[in-house]
Amino acid sequence: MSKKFYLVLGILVIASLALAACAPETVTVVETVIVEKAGETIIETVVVEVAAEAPVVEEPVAAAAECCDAYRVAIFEEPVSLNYWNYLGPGSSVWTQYVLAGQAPALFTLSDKRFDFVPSLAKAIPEAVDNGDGTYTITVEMVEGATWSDGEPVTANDVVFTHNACKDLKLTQNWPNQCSPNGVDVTAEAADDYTVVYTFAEAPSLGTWQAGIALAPILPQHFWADGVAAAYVFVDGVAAPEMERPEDCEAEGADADACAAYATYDEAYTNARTTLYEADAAGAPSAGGYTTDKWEAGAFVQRTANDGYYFKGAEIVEFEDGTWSLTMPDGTAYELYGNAEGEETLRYTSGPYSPNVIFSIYGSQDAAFLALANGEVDYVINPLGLSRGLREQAEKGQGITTYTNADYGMYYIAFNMNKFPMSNYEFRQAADIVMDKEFVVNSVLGGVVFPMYSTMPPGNGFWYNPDTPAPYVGLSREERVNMAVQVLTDAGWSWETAPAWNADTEDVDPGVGIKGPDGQEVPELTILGPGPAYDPIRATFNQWISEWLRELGMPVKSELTGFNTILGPVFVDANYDMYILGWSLGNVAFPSYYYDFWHSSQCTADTGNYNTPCFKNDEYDALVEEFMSTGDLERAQELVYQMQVVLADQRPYINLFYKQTYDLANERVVFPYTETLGGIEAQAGMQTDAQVLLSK
Amino acid sequence: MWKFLGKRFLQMFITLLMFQTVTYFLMDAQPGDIADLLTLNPDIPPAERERIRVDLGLDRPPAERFLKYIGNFYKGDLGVSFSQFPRPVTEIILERLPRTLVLFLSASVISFWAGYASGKVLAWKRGGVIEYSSTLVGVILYTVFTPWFALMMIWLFAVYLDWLPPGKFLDPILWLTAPEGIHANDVFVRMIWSVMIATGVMILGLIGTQRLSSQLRKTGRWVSFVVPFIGVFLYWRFASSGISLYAWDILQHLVLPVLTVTLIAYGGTMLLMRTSMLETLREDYILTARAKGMPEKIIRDKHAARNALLPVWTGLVFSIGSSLSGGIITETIFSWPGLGLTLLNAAQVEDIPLAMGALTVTGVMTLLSHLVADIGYAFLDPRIRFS
Repeated sequence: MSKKFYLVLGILVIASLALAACAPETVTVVETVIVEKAGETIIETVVVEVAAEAPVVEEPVAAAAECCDAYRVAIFEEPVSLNYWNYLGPGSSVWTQYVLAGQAPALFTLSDKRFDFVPSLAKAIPEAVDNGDGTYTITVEMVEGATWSDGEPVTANDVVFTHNACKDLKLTQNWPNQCSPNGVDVTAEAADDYTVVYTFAEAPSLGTWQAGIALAPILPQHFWADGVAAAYVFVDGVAAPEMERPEDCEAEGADADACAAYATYDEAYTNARTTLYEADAAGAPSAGGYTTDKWEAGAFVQRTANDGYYFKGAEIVEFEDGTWSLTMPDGTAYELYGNAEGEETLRYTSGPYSPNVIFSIYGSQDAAFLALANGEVDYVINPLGLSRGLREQAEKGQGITTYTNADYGMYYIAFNMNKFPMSNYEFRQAADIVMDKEFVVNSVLGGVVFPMYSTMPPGNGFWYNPDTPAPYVGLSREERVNMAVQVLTDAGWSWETAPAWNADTEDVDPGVGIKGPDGQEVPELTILGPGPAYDPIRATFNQWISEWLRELGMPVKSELTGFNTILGPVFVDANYDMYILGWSLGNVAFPSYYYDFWHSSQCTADTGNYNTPCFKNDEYDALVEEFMSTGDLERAQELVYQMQVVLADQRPYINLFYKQTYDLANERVVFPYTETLGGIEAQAGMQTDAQVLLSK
Repeated sequence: MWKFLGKRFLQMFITLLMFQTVTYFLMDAQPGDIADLLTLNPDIPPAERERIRVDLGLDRPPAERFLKYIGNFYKGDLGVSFSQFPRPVTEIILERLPRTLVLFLSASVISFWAGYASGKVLAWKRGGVIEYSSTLVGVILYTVFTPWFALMMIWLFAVYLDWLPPGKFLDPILWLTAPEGIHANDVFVRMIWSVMIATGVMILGLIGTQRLSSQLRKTGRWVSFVVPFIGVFLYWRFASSGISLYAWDILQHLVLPVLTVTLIAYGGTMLLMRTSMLETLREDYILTARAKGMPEKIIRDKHAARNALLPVWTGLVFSIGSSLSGGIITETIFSWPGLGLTLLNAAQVEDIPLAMGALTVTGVMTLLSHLVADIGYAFLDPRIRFS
C-alpha cells in the first residue's frame, strides 16, 4: 500500500504542475472599453479578467521577404555584468563584451575588413592643431540625428561626461586608455551640442588619438548622471596628499602620516569606483543595433533590436584600392582612402535585422557545439579555440557551415635575456636554426597551424612585412645541425664531443660537454609551457625544441605545466629560462604591442611590465619610440616593418606559429562578410548585420 | 538528545573551521592569482595592475587575508566575487544552490527509493534470471563513466528520440515573452516550495491517520493525498501569476539530468541494498520469524529490509552532502548552472571568495548530513541511542 501510495503521490504532484501549466489562464488586465451609461457613450478604464493566450514567440520584424528570425548565439560562460563602466573596469570579460557589443558608440571606428580608421558619430576625420604652447587641439564635429534607444540624442555632452567620469574617478583597468592613453593628459569640452574639443598635453599620436581617445566609448549622460554623481560624492573635495606616496607602508620607518593620508585618499576613490561599478544598469539605453534588456542568470541574455539605430539602412562599400564608403539612408555619403577603383571587396546594408539576439549560456564548449549541431542555436561564439574532433563532430549537424580565417595572434618561445646562455646572441640564433617549424607543423601536427616567421601575423596585411628574413626555411636536419654548430663554434662555443650528423643512422650524435664562449658551464635549462591538456600544439613544440637543443649538447628539459603556474615565474618574478606561450594581439589598427613587449623600459624584471625577455636594444627602442609618437600612418608602417626585421635578427622571441579561427554557424545565418582577421568571433558574431533567414 | 546535539554542533563548528582553514590555504597556495589573469593585457597600465591587486586585497599576506575572511564569514559576509566583481558571494550562492538542490535531491530520493525497493526484492528472490540481469545492469550503472553516460542519454532522448531538451534549465525563446519581473529562480523557488508543502501535508496526513480504524485510515490517507494535489493544482492554475508555463518548461528540462543522475546513483544503491539484505537474511532472527510462521512479506519488509537499510541510509545521506560539489560533471554536461559548475569556474580562475563560499556550503551540508545520518540511525535501529 505505502509503496504504491508514494508512487502515485509523486506522479500526481508532478502531474498537477503539468496540468496547471497546460490549462488556459486568466490574467488581470487593464482595458479601455467603451460603455453605455445612462444613454451616453463614455470611455472608461476598467479591470477585467480575460483568458490569456499561451505566450507566443514574437513574430520577427521582416526586413526582407525571408528575413529575419531571432539570432540565437551560444556562449559558454556568463557575462560578468551589464554595467558598461564595470565591463571596462574590473568586470572585464570577453563574454560581457559579446552581450554588450555596439551598445556604447564612439566618435570613430575601424572599417570592416581593412580596419582603417573611419568616422562613426564624427562627421569627418579632423586634423590636430598645434596651439604653440606644447598643447594640441582636435575639434570633432559630430553628426546630428544619432539617438539612444530611448530616443534621447547622442551629443557632445555625453562624450565629455564619459571622458570626465573616467578621468575624475580614476576608473581602473581598461578605462585609463579611454581617457588618458599612455598617461597623456587629455581634456574634453563640449563647444556646443555637437562639437567636442579635445586638448592634448602633447602631440597626438596614433596611440593616443586614433587608437585611444577617438575610439573611446560614449555613455548616455541622462541615464548615468545619478550613478556617476553618487560616485563623485566620495571624492568631492578630496585632494591628493602633498607628500610623496610611501613605497611600502609596512616597512620600518615608513612615514605614518603619509601612509594614513594616502590610505584615506585611496579609499575615497575605491569607494567612488565601486559605487559606479555596482550601479544598476537595468534599462541602460544603447546607441548600437541592439539593447541588452534581459539577463536570466545561468540561462540566457536577450538583446532587442534598436529600431532607432543611427546607421540602420546605411550601405557600406569597400573597394580593392582601399576605398571605404558609407552612404546613409538619407543619401549622405562619406568616402575615404581611395577613389573607389577596382573590384568591390565588400558591400552590405547595415541592420539590425533580427528582432532579438539571444545568447544561450551553456556549461561547456561541448554542450554549446552539440546545441549547434542539434539546431538549438544558430552560431557558437567561441574565443577559446576548437579541437579538430569537436569541430568535425559539430560539422555533422544539418546545415552547419564552417568559416575559416587567420587568427590575430602569435605563439612564440621567449628567452630570458638576463640569464646565460639565453643572453648570448649566437645561442638564440642556433636555437632558431635547429627549430624546424615546418616539420612540426606539417609532419607532426598535420597542418592544423601555420609556421610564423615575423612578429606580425600575415593576416594583418597593412603592418605585416613580407620581407622579414626567414633564412632557415627548407633546410634539412643535417644542414640545420651543421649550421648551428658552425654558428656556435664561430662565437667561441666548444664541446668535449661536438654534435655531428651521422649519415649511417641518419640522426644526430648529440654534443657532449658544451661550454660557452668564455668556457662557462651551461646550466640546466627549462622550457616552461602549457601541458597537452591545455594546448597540445604548444606542448608538442616544447618537446621538439628541447630535443633539438639537447642534440646540440644543451642540458634542456621541457616543463609542461598549468597556465597559472607559468604566470608567476614569467610575468611576476621574471625568473625563467625559456617559455612558450601565445598572445592575442588586440588592436589590429595600431600594434602597440611592439612597445609593450620589447621596449627596454618595459622589462618585466625591472618594472613588472610585459617585456618578459628584458630585451634592451637601442636601435629598436628608437624605432618603437618614434612609432608610438608619430601621427603619420605611412611612417608608422615603415617603422613597424623595420622593427620586424630587428626582432627577427635579435630574437628575444622566436615566433613559432599562428592559428586559424573556425566559426561554425547554421547556414540560415547570412553574415555580411566572412573573411576577416580574427574571424566572425572577433566581430562579436556580427550581431547587427547578420541576417537569420526564416525560409531555411 | 539535546546534550548530544549540543556536543555535535560544537564538533561540527570546530570541524568546519579546520576545513575552512585548510581549504583557504590550499586555494591560496595555487600558483598565481586572479589579478595575474585579469591583468594579462598589455593595454592595462602597470599602475592599474597594482591597483587591482590592492582593491582585491591580494597585496596582503595570506594569513591576514584568511583572518579577515573568517572574521567576515562568521559575521555573515562571504565577501565579493573576484571574477564576477562586485557581486556578493552570498547572492551568487543563493542563486545557484536551489538549482543544485533540486537536481540532486530529486535524483537522490528517487534512486534511494528505487534502489531500496528493487534491492530488497532481488535479494529475496535470489537466483532467478531477473536477479542476474538486474545485478548486471546495476553493476553497469554503478561503474559507468559518467560523462559518457550523460552524453549518451542526451543523444538518445534529446537528439535521436527528440523527447526531451538536451540541456540547460529553460528554453530562452519561450522566456522571451515572460512577464516583466519574472525570473527563473523565482519560478524555481516556488516549485520547490509547492512540492515541499504538498509533501509535508501528505506526510502529516499519513501520520495523523496512523491510529484510525482500518476503514477510516484508508479514507484519511486518500484525503491527505488528494487535498495537497488539488492544492498544488489550484495554486499553479490560479495563484501563480501566469508563470505555470515557465514552471512546466523548467520541469521538462529537469527530467533528463535527474534521470541520468538517478540511474547512476540507482546502481550503487540497489547493489548495496541487495548485498546488505542477503547478509541480513542469514541472521537467526529471520529463521526464527520463519519458524514462527510469519507471512513472508512481513519478514521481508519489517524484519529483514529495515535492518538491511542502515548502510543504504548512510550512503544516501552522505551522497546528498557531497552531491553539491560532486555534481560538477553533470552540471557541466547538462549546462545546469548550479553550485558545482560555479565551484569549478571559481577554482579555475582562482576566485577565492566564491570558491570558498561554494566549498563552505558543501562542508556545512556534509556535516549536517552526518548529523542527520546519526539521528536517522536511532530511528531505524532501536539498539542505537544518543549518548
